[in-house]
Amino acid sequence: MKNKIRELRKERKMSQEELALEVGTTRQTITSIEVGKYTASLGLAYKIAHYFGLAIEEVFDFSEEEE
Amino acid sequence: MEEFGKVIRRRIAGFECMAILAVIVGIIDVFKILPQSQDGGFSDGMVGGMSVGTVVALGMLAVVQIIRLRRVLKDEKLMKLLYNKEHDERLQAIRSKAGMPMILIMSIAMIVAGVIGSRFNETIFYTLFAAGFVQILVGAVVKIYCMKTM
Repeated sequence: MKNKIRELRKERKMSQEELALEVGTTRQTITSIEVGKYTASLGLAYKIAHYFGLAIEEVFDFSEEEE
Repeated sequence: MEEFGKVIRRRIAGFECMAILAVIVGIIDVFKILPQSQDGGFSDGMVGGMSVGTVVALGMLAVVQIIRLRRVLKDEKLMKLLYNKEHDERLQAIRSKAGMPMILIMSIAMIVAGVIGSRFNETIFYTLFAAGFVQILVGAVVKIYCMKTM
């Protein structure tokens, strides 16, 4: 699943570790989500989107899943 | 986080018990308090050596964990990192695919049972030790594979 986490992180000059600490996960999980290897659960997706002050669909692209 | 601190303290107590047990078993091994197999020869020495080695390894593992967890208890950031690592959904999914922690618990129980069994019959020791070792190996390979692909 595509997402904008990397771009949002770069905008805020945040490292993966800092984001991981804020949303209660590990740096490796953030890496996996960013490169699309792992699909975050609804709970984690909500936490990430909420942290950036956006809605889930603004951070994660669900269009591929619908196809 | 305070609750997690209690969990870590309980875990430290568990590892302390494990270290004490390893010392007791080590003393029994060194001073040969329990009766030894009557066979003698190469395999007898090998069983004894492997038993002592396993006990020493488990004891050292416990000591390393005690030191690591005590450091975590003193540092709030380290505690948060450990909490996140243990509650991370991706790692939990990987662990469950690799059959952890039950495979690890069963394997250690089998190896400990093998060490105890070696006092009476070396075939029991070889069987339990090999089965426990292969279980750990398979679990580790699956975990590494999942970590690369997930």
